[in-house]
Amino acid sequence: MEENTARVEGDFGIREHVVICNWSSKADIIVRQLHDPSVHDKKPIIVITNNPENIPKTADPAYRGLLMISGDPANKEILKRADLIHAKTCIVLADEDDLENSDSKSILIVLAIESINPNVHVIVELVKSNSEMFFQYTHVDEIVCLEQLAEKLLAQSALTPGLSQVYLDLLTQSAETNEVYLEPIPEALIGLTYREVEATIIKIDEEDIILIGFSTIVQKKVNDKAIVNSKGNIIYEKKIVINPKSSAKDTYSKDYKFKKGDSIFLISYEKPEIENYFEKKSK
Amino acid sequence: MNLRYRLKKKWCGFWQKYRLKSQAKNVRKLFIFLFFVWLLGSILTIISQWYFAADTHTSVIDYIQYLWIVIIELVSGFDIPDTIKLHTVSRLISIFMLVMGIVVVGLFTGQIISMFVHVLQRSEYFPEKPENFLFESPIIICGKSSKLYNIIRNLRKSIFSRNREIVIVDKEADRIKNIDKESFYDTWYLAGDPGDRNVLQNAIGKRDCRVVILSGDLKDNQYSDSTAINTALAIEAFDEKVHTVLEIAHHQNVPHYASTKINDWISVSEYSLKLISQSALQPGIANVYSRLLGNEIKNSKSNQIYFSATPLTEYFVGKSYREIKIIFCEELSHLDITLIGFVKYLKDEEKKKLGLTLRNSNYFIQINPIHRVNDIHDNSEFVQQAGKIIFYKDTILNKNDMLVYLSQKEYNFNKILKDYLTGR
Repeated sequence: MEENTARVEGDFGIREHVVICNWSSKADIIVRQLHDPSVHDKKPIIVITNNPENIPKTADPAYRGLLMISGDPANKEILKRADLIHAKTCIVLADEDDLENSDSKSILIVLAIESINPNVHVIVELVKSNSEMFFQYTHVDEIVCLEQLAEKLLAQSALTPGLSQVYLDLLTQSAETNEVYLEPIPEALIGLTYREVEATIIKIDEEDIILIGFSTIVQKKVNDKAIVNSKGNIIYEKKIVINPKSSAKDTYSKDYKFKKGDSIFLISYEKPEIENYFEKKSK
Repeated sequence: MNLRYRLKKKWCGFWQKYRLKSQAKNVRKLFIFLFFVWLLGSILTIISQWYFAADTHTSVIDYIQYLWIVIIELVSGFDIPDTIKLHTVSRLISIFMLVMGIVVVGLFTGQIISMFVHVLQRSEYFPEKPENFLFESPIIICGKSSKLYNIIRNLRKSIFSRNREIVIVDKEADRIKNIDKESFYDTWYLAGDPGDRNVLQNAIGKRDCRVVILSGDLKDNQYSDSTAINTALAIEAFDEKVHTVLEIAHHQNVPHYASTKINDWISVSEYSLKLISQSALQPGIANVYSRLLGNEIKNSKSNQIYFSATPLTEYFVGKSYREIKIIFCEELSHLDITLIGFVKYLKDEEKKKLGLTLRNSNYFIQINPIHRVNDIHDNSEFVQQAGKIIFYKDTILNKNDMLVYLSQKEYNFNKILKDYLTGR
């Protein structure tokens, strides 16, 4: 069969967009967050849902650039129509109408997504924490489990009054609240230790940022042995370190020296222009 | 927690476990019954002997022996000795007394057996909270949901709750099984409506009590939040010093709580959707929050957000956030801490002046305070942006303020700084 005849073209011909599978009344929060005025690079959103009538027909600026496809998100043809092959991120929301079986449906959607575009960043909303283990067999990038989130937030808020507000502040996308950003390490800071980078960032008055950790690419290991794929290629994974230890015994301590390709986690009110800052400074 | 408190708690727990209060009540009733049967039996025997066999008695004192004989018959079932001549009527009374004795002993034995059967049957459930003993600083969980066990597990992982009792309050709390006795230590149940004042009076501790109010499961309808809100309002009305954390299953209900006195509410769907949005904007962020919320990765302990204890360590009092941040980065860099903000104590009049509604608290949480870019002669500690207050890095911290930091454990800054300053 020729590729051209088999391929279903996207309805909108867009790239680098966000696909939301399933629509619920709560999805409004996602649209508003992704299209908040504080977001510099707003992406178009395509919603795939069986119930398109639930999507509000509004002139709200947050809904500008919101496109819709009616159909089952687990259907590959429907996913292809949403230009999934060119999408940047795919969000699979829990099916509000059938929460009991929602996690099983999400697995089907994820498998369909992976068969079309394994490189798209997939975020899944789970209802039950014990469903998480089934997603280990898929290549889901991030899992947000409602039950787990509730358990941990309730427990921590009971022990530390006010903590829920800290999380809400960090999670709300707006110019007045903080968010956690992942930024590539600026050229000027490559070769410096985490400790030195932290001291440098504290002295920056032009940007209100706090360094909280870093991520680096490492070889994926099982029982201290590097693992390879079926073609013999080394598999890499992202190592995330939050609040590194001061002890030099730890490889990823405060004495870790940054190399090219590493990224740093920053708390900031808006997307930090740290690279530009150091570029300007060097000039 | 002192030894006297712990011993008293153990004793009251034991008393409650064997239901000794109700057992004692039943035993008391049994003794009263025994006393009346004995009295009646003795009087009837004396009358019968006096009426039918008066010639066998030499004095009035001889009749007193029947009091002893009847009690022996009742409690031991022994027949009277042959030396005492009983009339047929008195013998019939004796037979009745012997039968009553079997009944009394049977009831007494049954009482003791039921006590042990109850303990055995309840062995796989949580122990009942002692009625007559108030816990010092318990964490109360109101409501029953699938999240309950993991919430207890999360609470028990934290050093903050190591010495706190956990009390589950629900109408069906007595049916909740203790599936993990090792993790769920010092966890009790109290059966009853958590909105009932009498139940609250028993559940709420002497001081620093925290309450987690669970909503129904997500699959329940949107009115599942209403029971939880009723409970929260009842608790706030009972004692507003109690810190209440309310779970809201349906985010549409959030605006209804803004004017209540509930301290913290968590709309899980709102958090999850915001987290999903953040992950869509910044791939990998969900993993960061997962670590902050206590998910341990490959046996390494996760970092959490902590607030320092009040009063603030004297060494930090009078210093600005900026100065303290530098101290942590340079002088105290051996501690595994990342300072991310502070909590400012505001008096009621200051709150009113700033137009702040701080969820019934006097503490304003400032994460990532900003650099002052305006006039250097401006001495104000904050700026208002789009109606929101943001404190500057130069804000001076006082003894009622707290620090907000990321760490794997809670630090006692008083001790650390004392050691540091003496060693310097």
